[in-house]
Amino acid sequence: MDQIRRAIYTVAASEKVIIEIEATKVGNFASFVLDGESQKPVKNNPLTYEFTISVGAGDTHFGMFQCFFPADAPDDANFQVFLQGSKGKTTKYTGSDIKKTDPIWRRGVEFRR
Amino acid sequence: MTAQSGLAIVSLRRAQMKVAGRVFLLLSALVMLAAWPASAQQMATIKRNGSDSLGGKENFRALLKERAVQFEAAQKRRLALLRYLSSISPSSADFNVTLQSIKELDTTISTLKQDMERISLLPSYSSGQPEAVSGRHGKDRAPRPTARPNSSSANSKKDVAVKYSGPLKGRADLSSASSAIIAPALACYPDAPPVVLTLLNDAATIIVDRARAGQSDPSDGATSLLNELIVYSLADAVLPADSTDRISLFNLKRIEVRAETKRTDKQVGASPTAGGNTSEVEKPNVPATLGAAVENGSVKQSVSGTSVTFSSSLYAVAAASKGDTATTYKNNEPLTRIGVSATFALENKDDVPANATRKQLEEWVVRARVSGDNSTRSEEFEEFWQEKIRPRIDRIPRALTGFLRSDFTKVSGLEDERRDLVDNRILTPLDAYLTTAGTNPDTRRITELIGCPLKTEWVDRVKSSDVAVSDETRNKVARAVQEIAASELEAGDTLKLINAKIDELNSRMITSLAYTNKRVAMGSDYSIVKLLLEKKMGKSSDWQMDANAGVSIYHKPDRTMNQQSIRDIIVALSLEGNAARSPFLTKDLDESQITYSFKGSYQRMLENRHVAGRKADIASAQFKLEIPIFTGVTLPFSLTYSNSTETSREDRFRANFGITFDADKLLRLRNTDSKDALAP
Repeated sequence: MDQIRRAIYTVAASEKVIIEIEATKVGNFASFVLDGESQKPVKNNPLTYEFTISVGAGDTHFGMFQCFFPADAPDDANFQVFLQGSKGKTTKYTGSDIKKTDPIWRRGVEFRR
Repeated sequence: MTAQSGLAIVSLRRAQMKVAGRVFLLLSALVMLAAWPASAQQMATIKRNGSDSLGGKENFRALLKERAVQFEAAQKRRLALLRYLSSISPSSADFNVTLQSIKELDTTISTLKQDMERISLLPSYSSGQPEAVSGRHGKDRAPRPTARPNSSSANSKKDVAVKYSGPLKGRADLSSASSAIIAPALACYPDAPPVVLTLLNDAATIIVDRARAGQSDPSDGATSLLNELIVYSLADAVLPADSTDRISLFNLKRIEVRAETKRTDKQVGASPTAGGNTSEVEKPNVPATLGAAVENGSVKQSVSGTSVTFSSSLYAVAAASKGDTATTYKNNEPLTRIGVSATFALENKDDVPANATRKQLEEWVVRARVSGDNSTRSEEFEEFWQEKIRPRIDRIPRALTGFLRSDFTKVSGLEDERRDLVDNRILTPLDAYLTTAGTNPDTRRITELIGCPLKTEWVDRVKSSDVAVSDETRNKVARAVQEIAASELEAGDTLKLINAKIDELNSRMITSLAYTNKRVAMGSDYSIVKLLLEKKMGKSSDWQMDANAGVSIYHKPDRTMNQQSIRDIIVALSLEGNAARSPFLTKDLDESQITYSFKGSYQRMLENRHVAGRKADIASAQFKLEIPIFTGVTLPFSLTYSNSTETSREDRFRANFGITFDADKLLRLRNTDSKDALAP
């Protein structure tokens, strides 16, 4: 997997993608949706998701992270996304970050073939 | 920052007690009479500010419904004017007139919205979730869902559709009070749906924030929101005029569920027995975070009169090295139960931490929470969120990503168009701008760099069929918009669920054991072992009860001073609550409450038995009232009675009053006023 930007990645066929969402100063109130389906985490601490690339060349998997901060979370509470692929470069990339002070707690991500 | 200015501190003897008592009772009665039907004051405000064709009607539901109907009509009119505006030339005579009409409608819509929010806050309006009430102890008000008209035919059976528009009232969060429902317009995309403008503004805000923080790739704020923008603008391009789908699109508000309840049961200051401390009853919970020093916030510092207290928890040690992440919290939950603090005499006010010397040590405390974790970081709340809330807030991401995946494909041709739009038309110029702007990019420019290509290279090309969009895609985008609209309607109910759970957690009894080691400058050191209890009560946790019971033990009793091993037994009880919004406040956004508290304690001091001039049974009671008289200005008033002190049997009646200034609150409200003035 190659990182083009924090929210755009190029992937290979049948590549396994692992996504971690690390919560700081807040509980694990984050979810990951891929292509219209809510994903179940494979691990809870930290929240970890896995999926396999299944689109053909020229197509894209569309994902979205939705986060939530209760009011007792401090202003510097945040979620940080990390992504890693199983083919090509297996670097653990730093993805989007979502802060409590952001005006929107939702971020898209795309995986292009 | 809070500055206090005491105007007078008066100690009265018995003979003067009656006069002071009568004056106090009279003042309290006047305040309560003025404050208690706060609804009357708020309704007067509604009648002053909004047209009220209902005259003296007291049916708040009917009033709310009427406002909702007016709101919907105004929004429809605005939509029609926007469409008309987009069809005429900027040089035509009608252009400016129409623009002016739209601005006037914006003001009307904003006023109607405020009216509806006020109505929903009235005590007799019971359709919303009961709120945790704001007060001096920082218990915060969860904002009520506000009513908005139902604009979708699919939901026509509902009387009033509920939406959540973010925290607007009460508590400390006044800086976000203007919820930016209407984001600044874009000249190159004058008829953009409001949700597009809001998202553009959001993207720009995030980019500016990250650029100022020196983050690499600050454009992520745009990249990660572009696909959502593309869907909404595609809907704008293809949805037929006057269709209910188009009305739904233009009513989307980019709503997110944001809960607003804070916990206030932690005691950071000194225990009641420390010199200079003002609170008589200890609170049982422990602060959960620690850092390396007071300056980085890991150790909390609290200055009270002539003493300073440093407090922390064992969890803080773990969090300092591993980071205060959810994983660290889960793996070290037992450590969050143990809190420690030390209080020192404050001799050097210029360098507070320098007072932490053995010589100045007044006491140290270890507190252990016995009851469960009732914070939002608890396993219980997380499980609740995963099961009950996540499926709801995932609706919008599911609708968006599902549509994108199904229709933005190589086969349809839309995926190639999308990639070209994102990579070449928007992000490349944006990157170039951000490189030159450095750490100070302009929000307006960023919205133009994203919004203008979105209009010219996407919306206009779709409208002109330069980008082919199939009928199936048109239908699907309409369904996606409806799904998102339905999710926004549900946001109020989702918020109710969250607040109900938070209220339920907050209402549980908190039980702790505390050990205090007391250093006495002149006399014998002693230890105190206490049981601490706290319980929030009332429909919206608007009452709080704190109870302590403890025993003090001398380390080395001095028999010559009649001291025994047991120094004293003490029980204390306090009840605190909020009365109503202060009637003296003139700013509508300020919901500061009149708060009151009753505190009582009884102490059996064994060494005072059979000693002339002293009493073994020491009782005290205090009543305190805080009245906000202007925004950021509070009038505290207290009456304290004790039948004796530890060293004198003389009873004492004391009345204190003064003025408190909260500079932070004044500044926040000033900023809120500025934002409202600038909103289009």
